[in-house]
Amino acid sequence: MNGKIKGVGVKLPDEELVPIKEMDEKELAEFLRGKSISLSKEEARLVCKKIGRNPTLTELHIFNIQWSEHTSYKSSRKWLRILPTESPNVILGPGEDSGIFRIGKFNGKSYGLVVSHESHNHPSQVVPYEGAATGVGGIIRDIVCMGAEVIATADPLRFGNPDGEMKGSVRYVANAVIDGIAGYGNPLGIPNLGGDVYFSDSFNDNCLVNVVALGIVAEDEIIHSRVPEGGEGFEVILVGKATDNSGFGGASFASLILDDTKRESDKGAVQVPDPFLKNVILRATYRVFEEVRKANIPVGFKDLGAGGIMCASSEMASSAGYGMDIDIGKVHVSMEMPPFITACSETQERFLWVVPRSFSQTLLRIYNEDFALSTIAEGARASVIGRVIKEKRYVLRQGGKVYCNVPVDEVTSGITYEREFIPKIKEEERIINRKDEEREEEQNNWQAQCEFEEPDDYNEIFLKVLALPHIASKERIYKHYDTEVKGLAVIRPGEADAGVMAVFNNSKTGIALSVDSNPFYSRESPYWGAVLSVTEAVRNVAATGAVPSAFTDCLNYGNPEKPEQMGQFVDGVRGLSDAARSIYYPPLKDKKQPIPFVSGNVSFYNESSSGSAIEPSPIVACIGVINDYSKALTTGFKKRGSRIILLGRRKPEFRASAYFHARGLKGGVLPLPNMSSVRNEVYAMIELADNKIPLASHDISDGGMITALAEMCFLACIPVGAEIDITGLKMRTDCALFSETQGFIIEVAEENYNAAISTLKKNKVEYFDIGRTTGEQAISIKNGDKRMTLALADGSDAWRNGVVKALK
Amino acid sequence: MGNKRIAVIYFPGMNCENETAHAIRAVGMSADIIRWNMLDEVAGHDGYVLPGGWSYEDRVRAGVVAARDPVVSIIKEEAEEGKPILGICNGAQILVESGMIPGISSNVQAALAPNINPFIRGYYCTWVHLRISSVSNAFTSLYKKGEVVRMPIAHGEGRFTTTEEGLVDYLEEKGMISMKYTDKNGHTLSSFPFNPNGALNNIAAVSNEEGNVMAMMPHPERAFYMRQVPCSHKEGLSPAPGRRIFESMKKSLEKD
Amino acid sequence: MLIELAVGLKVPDNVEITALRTLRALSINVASLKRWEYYSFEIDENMEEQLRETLLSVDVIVNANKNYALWIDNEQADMDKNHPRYMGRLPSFLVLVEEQDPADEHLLRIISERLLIGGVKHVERGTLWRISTPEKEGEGIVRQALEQLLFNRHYQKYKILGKIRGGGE
Repeated sequence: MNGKIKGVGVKLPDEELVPIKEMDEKELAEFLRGKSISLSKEEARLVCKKIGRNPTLTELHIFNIQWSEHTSYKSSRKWLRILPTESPNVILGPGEDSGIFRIGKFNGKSYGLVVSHESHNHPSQVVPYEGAATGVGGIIRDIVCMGAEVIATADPLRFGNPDGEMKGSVRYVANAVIDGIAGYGNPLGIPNLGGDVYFSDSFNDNCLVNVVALGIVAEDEIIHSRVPEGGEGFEVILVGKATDNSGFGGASFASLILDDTKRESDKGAVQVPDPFLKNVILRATYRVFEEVRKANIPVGFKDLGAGGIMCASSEMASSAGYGMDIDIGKVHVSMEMPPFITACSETQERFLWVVPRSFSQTLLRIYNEDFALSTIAEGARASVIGRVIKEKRYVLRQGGKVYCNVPVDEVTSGITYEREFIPKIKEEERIINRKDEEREEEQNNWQAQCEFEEPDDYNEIFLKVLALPHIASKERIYKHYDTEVKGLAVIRPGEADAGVMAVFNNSKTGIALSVDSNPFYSRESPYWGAVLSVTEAVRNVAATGAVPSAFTDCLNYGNPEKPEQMGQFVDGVRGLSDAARSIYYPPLKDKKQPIPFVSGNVSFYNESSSGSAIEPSPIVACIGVINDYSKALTTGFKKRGSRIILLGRRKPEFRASAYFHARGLKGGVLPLPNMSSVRNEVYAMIELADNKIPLASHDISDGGMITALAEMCFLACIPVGAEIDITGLKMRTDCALFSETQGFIIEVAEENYNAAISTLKKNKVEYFDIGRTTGEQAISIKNGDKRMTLALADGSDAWRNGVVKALK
Repeated sequence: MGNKRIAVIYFPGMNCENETAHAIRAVGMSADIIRWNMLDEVAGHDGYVLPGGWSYEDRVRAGVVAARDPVVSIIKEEAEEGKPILGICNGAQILVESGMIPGISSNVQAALAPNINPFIRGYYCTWVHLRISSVSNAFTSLYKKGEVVRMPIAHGEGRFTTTEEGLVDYLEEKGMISMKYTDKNGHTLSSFPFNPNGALNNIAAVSNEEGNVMAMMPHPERAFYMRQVPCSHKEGLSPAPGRRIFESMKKSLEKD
Repeated sequence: MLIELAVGLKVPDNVEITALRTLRALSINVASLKRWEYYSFEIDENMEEQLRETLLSVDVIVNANKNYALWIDNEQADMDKNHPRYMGRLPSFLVLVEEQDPADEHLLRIISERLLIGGVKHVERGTLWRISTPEKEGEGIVRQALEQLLFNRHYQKYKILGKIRGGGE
C-alpha cells in the first residue's frame, strides 16, 4: 500500500491507526463500545479489508456513520429496487436528494416538480419541537439543493394513544411536534398543503414525523448534487451555520433502538433549528442560482444532513468519479472539536457548493456581504473548505495533519445485507399473481362477514366514529400552519381529499398532493396495508380531478434484524410495488405505464427497548397534476336537490375499520381492492372533473360511506343534508354505511346527471344512484322498508372536536 | 413619468415579499425588493410596503427587532413627506413597534400582542370577514365604507391593544381604524371566531391621522385573485377584495 | 405557598443572542444578558417536596434533553453559573417581564387535568432576564433596555426582582 505516490495517493494518514486487525473479539467489542461506535465487530473488520489497512479513529467514525442503517440503507437497498421508478415524465428518479418529474411548459420552458419525502422520527420523540422543526428544515434543503424553489409541504404524523397509559407524554409530543412543524415551515414561508394523523398505542414511545416537500425548477436549470463535469480543482464551499457538535452521531443514533432508561441530557443529541437563518440563506442561494444560470457556470450543490460535511462531500465526489481533499481547519465552527466531529456533525442550516475557482469570490460575497450571514447568526458564513481532486481518494486534514485518506468510493458505497425475513403474504395472494376476477369471486362470498349484531343505537356509533381523531376534522392542526403564504393555494387542507395549488401566477396548471397510510390495515397485513396506502393516495388525488403522476414513499418499520419485522418491510415494499404497477398513469394507460416512485426514505428501528415495534407504516404521497385548477373539485356539497352518486361496488369489509373500533369488534376482512376498478374509477373521476360535471366529490375510506357523506355536509358552505336510499346495495344498513371498501361519492346537478352516468358507463365504473342533497341538517336513510335519520348537528360537534380532545 | 416605484422592504426573516411585489406590479406600479441593509437604495421611492413574515423570527416579540433597524428611520422620514407606507402583518407589527402607527406621538402607543384564541394557541391561519370602517386613507379609498370583505390572516401576535387612555376612542373618532373583524354580515362581535385574536374593538387595521401610513394584520396580497379565495377558485384570476388595497395606493400617488 | 422556577436552554438561546446584539446596536451598554422561562406555582404547602420533584418532570415545562431547570429560591444554586442569582464579575439585575395578566390557565389545565397532578392552584408565566451592566448607572441602563426592547408596556409589565452585586467570577 505504500507504493508510488501520485498527489495524495495512498499515503498513510498522520493520525495514529487503530489496531483493529490485531484486537481479539473481546478487545474489539470493548473498544467499539468505549468509543460509542455502533459498528459490529464484523463491520469494523470489514473496514480494514475495504481500505487495505487498519483505520484511524477518524476513519472508523466515518464508516460508523456511513454504514449506519440511516445512511447506507443496508437492509433496505436491495428491496427498494423492486419499486417502479421510471416513466416518460420522470426527469430524475431516486438517487439524488429529491426526485423530479415533468409537469409541463410554462413561459416557453419545460418545468419539473421536485419531490422529497423524509422522516425524523427518533429526534421528534426525544425533543419533539426541535426534532420536527429540523425534519422540515432537512427536507427543504433536499429540494433547494436541486436548484428548485420550495413551494409546499405535507406532514403525515403518527402519535400514541392520547387516552392510554402514556397520555401525558403522547399529548406533549403531539403538540410539540405540531408546534415544531409550524415553527419552521411558517417562518420559512412554505405553505402546508396537507397531511394526516393517526393515534395508536404502538406509537406511544415512537412517534412518526414524516414530511413531504415540493419544489419547482426549470428542467434546464436543475442543479445536481455532484461535482460537475470537468470539476477537477473546483473549490468546495461550506455555507451556513457555524458547525458545532449538535446531533453528533445522529445517523447512528437513529440506528440504535430508543432505550427509555437512557434519556440523556447530552446536548449533542439536540439539533437546533434556525429557520430565521435558513430564510436568509435561501434568499442568498436563489441569488447565487441567478448568477450561476446567467453565466452558465458548472456547479454542484448539496445539502448537509446525516453525516454532515463528510457525507455530503464524499457523495458529491464519488458520484461523479472524483475525490475530495477537505481542510477541516477551514470550516467555520462555534466550538473546538476533534476533526471527526467537525467533519460529521449534523449542525443544521448548511449546504455545500462545488464551484470553479473563478466563481468563488462572487459566491462568498453574496452570502457574506450582500446577505451578511454573520449578522443573522453568530459565525454563519460561507467558507472555502477544500477542493476536488482527480484521485478517487477522500482526504480530511487539519493543521497540516491528515486524519483520513481512504478510497472515496468505499466511503460512499455503504454495505448491503441480505436480512432474513418472514413475510406474511403468500406469493399467490399478491396482486400481480392473481386475476381481479378471481378475487371478486371470493369477495362475493363474504356476505357471511355481516354476522355480528346490528347496533342498537346508530346515532351513538355514528358519533363515535366521527370523533375518532384520524377521522375527525384536522382543523386544530392545519390552522396552526400557514397555508396561504406565496398566494398559490387553491384548495387548502380540509377542503378536499388532496391539497391543490397553482404553480405559476399566469398559468392554470395545478398540483395536487395527498399523503396516506392506514396503520390499522398494515397491522393486519403489511402487504395489503401498503397496497391500500397506494390506492388511497391515488384516489385522494383523483377525487379532486387531478391526474395522479408520481409517488414518494417513506417506509417506517421496526428492527430489520428481527426476521418478522423485516418481513413486514418486505411485504410493504412488495405491496407498494404491486399496487403502483397496477395503477396506470392515466395519459399512458394504454401502455400500462405504472405511476413511478420518484423519491423515498426508509426509517428502521422504530421500536422501543421493550421490543415492540410500531405498526408497519409505509406512508405514500401521491402528486397529481390538473390542467385547469378552476375545475378542481372540493368535498363540501354545493346545492340542495342535487343527485348523489356512489362509485364502486360496496362489500361488507370491516377488518380494522373505524366502525369495528367504535363497536369493539374484531375479525372480518380488509377492503382489498380490485385494481381494474381502481383504475376505472380514477379515470372516470378525472374525466368527470375535466368536463365540469360534479359539483363536489369525496373518496370513501376510513369510516365508510356514511362518514364521507357526513363530511360532504359538514364542509358545505350552505346548510345541507342528504336523503339516501341504499336498498339497491342489498346490504344490511350498518354494513352499507360503515364498510371501508374504497370508492367515491359525487354530487351532480340534475341537469348533468345523464352526462355523469354516461361517463361512468364509458369507464366501466359500477355506480349507484343513492339519493339527493336536502336542506335538512340530517342524513335520512332508507333501506328496504326500514328508515332512520342521523342528525348532523351532534355529528358536526363530534367531528369538529375529535382532534381537539386528543390534543388537549 | 413612468410607473410609480414602490419599495418592498425585506427584513431578514420575512417571507411574503415576492407575492407582495407581484400584487404591486399587477396593478401597474413597479416594485423593488430592497434588503434591510441596502440603506443607500431605500429613500426616493414613491411609496413603501413592509410585507409579512417573521423578521428576526419574532425574537423578543414580533416586529420589535426590525423596528430598531436603521432602515426604519429612513422610512419614517419618507412617511413624514407624506408618502404612502403600508405594513402588512409583520410589517404592521414593525410600524406599531416603531411608533409610526398610530403615529400620534413619537412613542410606542400600542401593541400587537399575542392572540387570545380559545381554539389554537399561538399562530393561527384562517380566513376572516372584515368591515371597511374608513375609506379616508391611502389604502382603502377604493372600498365602500361599511363594505364587508374576506381576507386571510396568519399570525400569533395580532391582538391590537393599548394602555393609552382614550386612544381607541380617538382612533374611532378620527376614522383611523380602517378595518375591523366581523361576522359575515359585518357585525363586530367580540367573541371568537368573529374576533380571531381578541383585538380591542375588533381592530384589524389602523392608519395614522394623515392617512398615508397604514398597518393591517390581514394579507391583501393573498386575496388578490379569486383563485386564492376559498370556494372561489372557479373564478380564476378575477379580482378579489385584497386587490383594491394596492389599487388605492396607486390612486393616492396619482392624485399628486 | 409560592414556588418559582427558571427554565433555561442547554443549547444556544437565539432570543438572548439577538436581544444582546440589538441592545448593542442601540448603544445600550449592557455587558451580558441571560434569559429563562419563568414559572410560578401557587401550591399546597404540604405537597411542596413532592411537587418540586414532580413539576420538573413535566415535559411541557422541562425537556431534559434541551432544558435545565432551577428553583429560584434554592440557596445552594447560587454557585451555579446558570442560576438566575449567580454572582458574576459585574453587577446584574434580575428582571421579570410578564403579560399584564400572567396567569397561565392552559398550563394549569395540563398539570391538573391531563397529568392529574394535584396541589397546584395557580400558575403564572413570564420571561426572566439577568442583565449585567457596568458598575455605574446600572439601573438606568436596565430600564433603557426594557423600555427600548425587552418589554412593551401596552400588554406587558416588568418587575426588577433584585440586584446582584458584582465581584464574583
